[in-house]
Amino acid sequence: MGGKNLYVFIEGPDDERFFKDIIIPYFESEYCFIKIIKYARKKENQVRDFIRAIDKKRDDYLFVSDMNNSPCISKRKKKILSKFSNLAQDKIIIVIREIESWYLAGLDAQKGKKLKIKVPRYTNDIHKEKFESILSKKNPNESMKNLKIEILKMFSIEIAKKKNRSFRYFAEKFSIVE
Amino acid sequence: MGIKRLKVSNFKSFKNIDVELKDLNIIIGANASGKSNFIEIFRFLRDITLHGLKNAVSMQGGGEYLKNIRLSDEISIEINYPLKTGRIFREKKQIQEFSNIEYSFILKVGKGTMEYFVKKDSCKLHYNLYKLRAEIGLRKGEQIGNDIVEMKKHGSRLSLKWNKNLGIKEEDIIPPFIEKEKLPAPKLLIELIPYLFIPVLIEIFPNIAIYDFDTKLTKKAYPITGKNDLEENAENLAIVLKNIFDDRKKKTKFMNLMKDILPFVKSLKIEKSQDKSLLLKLKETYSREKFLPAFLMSDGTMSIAAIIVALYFENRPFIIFEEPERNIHPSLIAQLMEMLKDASQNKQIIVTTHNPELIKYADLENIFLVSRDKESFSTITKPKDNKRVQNFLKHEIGIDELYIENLLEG
Repeated sequence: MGGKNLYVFIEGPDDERFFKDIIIPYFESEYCFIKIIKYARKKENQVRDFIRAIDKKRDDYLFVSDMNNSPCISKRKKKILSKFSNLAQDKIIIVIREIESWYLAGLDAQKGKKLKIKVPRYTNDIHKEKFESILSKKNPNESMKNLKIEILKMFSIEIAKKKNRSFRYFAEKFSIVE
Repeated sequence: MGIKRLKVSNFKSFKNIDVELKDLNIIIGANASGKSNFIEIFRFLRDITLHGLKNAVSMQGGGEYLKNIRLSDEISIEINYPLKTGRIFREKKQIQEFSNIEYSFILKVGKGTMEYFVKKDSCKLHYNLYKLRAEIGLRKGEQIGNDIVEMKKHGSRLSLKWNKNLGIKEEDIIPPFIEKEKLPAPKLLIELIPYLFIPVLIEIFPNIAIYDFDTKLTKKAYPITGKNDLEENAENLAIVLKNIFDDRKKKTKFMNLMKDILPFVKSLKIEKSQDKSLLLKLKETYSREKFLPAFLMSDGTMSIAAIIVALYFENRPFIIFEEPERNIHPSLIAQLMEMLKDASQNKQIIVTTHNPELIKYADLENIFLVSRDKESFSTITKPKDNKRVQNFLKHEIGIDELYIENLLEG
């Protein structure tokens, strides 16, 4: 894919940090440059215009979205496609439930202990509120942002694959190996 | 939760406002709408507790500039502050749990610059009283009752009203050495908070900081003998950072937050020069191994360093930022907003801004619009509650666009 550019559409700053620190380094050798586009506060037609321009240039993109409360991945993808009709279905990455579940997935019990976090065995059902309640239990008054940064410093791709099935699917799809 | 409700009458350009504040409050409005006057309310309260009412009035230019020139001569300020604090009376085996403070005062301003007197000054302290269950580790048991302690100051006399049947004694409210009949006459109750038992207010008002950073000053060397609390213009940033960097854990946290928003920052250090001044130095990925002195650093880098210090390292429960996004690239505004939201879990924050990008990333419920009403008085409203705004938002027109087009008013 040499000579191509990659655009990663993410919702907000927490996704941006995760992708910049953990995922993008694995793509760097394949692309000329990689840019992140935060789309949560963009208009639907603006996002469609971005996709159109990227397609025209034959560049690559990924579109990352949280599962939120959708009952299944296919329904979530259908909802996204109803908004952004020119998206290619195979470019959509669904995070189950929210990006916080991917953060937490990268820690085992030992790493969690260092950060005073009791890490659950699986993180498939973790959403933002649950994540914050787990983290703040033994870290009252600590900044969630700082804890997220600390988690990424200890993050293990291989542990995350075991703990979160949407992360495992994503990592395997793009052959991401630690 | 900090100050929940603020009611103000006849203060500068405001006639009457009644605002329910959030943990994070983004104040927007056109030029000369009264945004700065809104901030002046908090500066006035802070100055009363720090310098006394006389000086606070003088620092606002005297009574004639404190009140609205077109209105009556009475200025009133009322604050409602929910509490989650309490105390244990071991001897009585009781727990007193405070739930709310209502503080209000009315100043009557005369014609002369410094002619004013206190017409009303009252503090109501709401509490619940429980039995103490000492046998299971000082937990509260059955509720005994609830009541309001009401303190009122009339001239030099302090009157107290409370339900004596619940067992709360006068010395539980004010220390025995205070002579209720001989308090300093021109002083407000909030000036006397070091002596009176008014929980929380002692932490809030004197510690209000109104940050308006001057990045040119932050780049200069600063004398080592300066204050450790961040100055409102951040001129002493070097000395504050030096003290943060002396603590390994704090330094890690600061660098985490700094690199998260500015990934090119590799390292920061404080250098002491021979004239006993401190200078901030930065190593960037662009400068390889070389540390650059502060005067070569970008204004945005200095602003972000000062914002991080104010949000995460200053022990202040209530802070105000005047246009913190100045000098910061639009692509970083989402991160700045995320940082403000994160820090507002632990302190109440007010931000004034003209920046549409900051407004775009704010949650609608946190946005407050200051504008002029038909009579030209300043007023404060929530765009979220405006039906016309709701309609535009439903049609995918962003709050930032409505702000640019002046469509948030009315």
